[in-house]
Amino acid sequence: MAALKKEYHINKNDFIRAGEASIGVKNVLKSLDVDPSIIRRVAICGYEGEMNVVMHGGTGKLNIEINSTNIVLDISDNGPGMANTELAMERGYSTATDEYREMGFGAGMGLPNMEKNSDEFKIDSAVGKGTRIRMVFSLTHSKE
Amino acid sequence: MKVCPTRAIRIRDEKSVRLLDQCIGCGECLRVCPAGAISTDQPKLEQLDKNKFSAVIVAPVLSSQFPGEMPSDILAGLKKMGYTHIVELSDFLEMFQFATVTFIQENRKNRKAPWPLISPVCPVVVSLIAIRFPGLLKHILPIERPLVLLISDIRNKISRQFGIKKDDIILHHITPCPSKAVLERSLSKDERLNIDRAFGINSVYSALFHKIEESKKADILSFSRDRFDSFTSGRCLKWGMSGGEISGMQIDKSMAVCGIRETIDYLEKVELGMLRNMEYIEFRACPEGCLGGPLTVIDKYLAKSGVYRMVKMFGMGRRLPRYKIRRLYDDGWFYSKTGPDEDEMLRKLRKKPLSIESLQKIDLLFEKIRGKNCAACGSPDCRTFAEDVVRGDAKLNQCLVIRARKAEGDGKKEKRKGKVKK
Repeated sequence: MAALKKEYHINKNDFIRAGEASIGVKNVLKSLDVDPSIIRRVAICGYEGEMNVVMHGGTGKLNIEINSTNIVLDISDNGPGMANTELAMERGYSTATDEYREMGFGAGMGLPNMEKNSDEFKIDSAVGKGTRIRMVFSLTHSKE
Repeated sequence: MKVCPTRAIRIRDEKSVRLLDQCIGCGECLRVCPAGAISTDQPKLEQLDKNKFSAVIVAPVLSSQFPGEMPSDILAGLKKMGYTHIVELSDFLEMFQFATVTFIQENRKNRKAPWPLISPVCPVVVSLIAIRFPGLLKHILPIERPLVLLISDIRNKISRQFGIKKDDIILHHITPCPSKAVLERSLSKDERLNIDRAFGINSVYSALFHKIEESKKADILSFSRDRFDSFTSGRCLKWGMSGGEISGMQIDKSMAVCGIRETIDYLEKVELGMLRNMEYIEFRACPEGCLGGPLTVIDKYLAKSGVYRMVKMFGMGRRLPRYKIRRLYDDGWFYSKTGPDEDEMLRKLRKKPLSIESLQKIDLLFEKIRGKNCAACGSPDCRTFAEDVVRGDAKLNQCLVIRARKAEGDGKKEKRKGKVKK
């Protein structure tokens, strides 16, 4: 089965280029004429994930794989990692610095939003090893 | 070719310029083409039929194009050109603004539409959204644009008032906007059907300028005014500037963005889920708003300074009674009859979607080219060229880089062959 794969790099603290990976993903999906509501969910998840890497994660990658039944978004980084992913998934829990809060981030909604907007969500993280988030969006039956 | 935000320009056979369906009429190409290869297809200004009733709808920006002239002098000049009536948009702008505020207030309660709502006023932005951001179509405020509100029943009104047949009314429009000046490309059916001719400000400017001078020398009271001749208001003057639309509305969480690049940047942001705390965004494709339209004549910053002076003089007061607009609103008069995503013109703008396989082919081809976006092939950049090739609209050997590499390769091969022979 034909599958389209793309990889984007994300750099720590690179706020100027932050969002470019998600915009790239969005444009690929648009040229394939994917349902706009699915594009929107992928874009939101991609952007939240990208910002997490920019703010906390160190260097990371955003991988996307598209086939005829689903879209897989895989965001991984080599940053500090998290000891307790369950706590991180709680709404409102945030470790963002004051600086980031001033920029409008750090409401503790990033990860919950990603879970809410994707059809499958998996997070793996270990202190010192980095974080990896894998999200699947179905093209055949939509969550909404 | 490269400035086109929808990549709609191709140069084929050395110099013929082709415009694809994706043209949204932003006029960026008009601004930059040094050779004047691109022009708008506007009708010639001709003598008006004296036996017919001829009205002209003027865009709010027109008065800013004659800094120092009073709106009444411009009106007189237009009359001298042969128009029996001059219609401008002031009242409709005020109604539009009222309807928008009302809709937003209701939306705070019933959340029918998603935040941020996007202004429907700039037709170029609406087309841009249809092509590049179809997911945002539902963010467009479902209130009809002021011009469409006006023309939808202007013919009926005039024919009732003066007892003339509808067909005997000639309706013209003077505009700074290329997307409106070329009527057959206009997004709105009402515009296409109801306006007979549209002109860019630049194409009528010198004629109008002379008539204004003439009429100033003559008796000021040489024309009569009736209810269809209205003078421009402060609100209307400001409308032509970026931020003019929202300045007449009391919405705290609103912002104004102008210029095609910035517009695209901010639409990307909206699509990524940012700006969700905004309620209303006014987008204008032209820098500084309609004042910076490609068919204007006066420098946009000079025009802006003139507008500020005039606004001080006219004030931003209301002209219409609120309860009357409210009644129209409750009757549903303001709602767009067709959603923007249903309009056939908008659907025509979209390119045929690609399959995963062809997207893969494009990626491979793009890597094979390894070009520098020289555009010598006649497509605006290497990526678009690769797409053109895969879609069958271009041939790979149009690419100079590939041809050069091939020639080099052939040369090397020949040398090698030569050596072997010796």
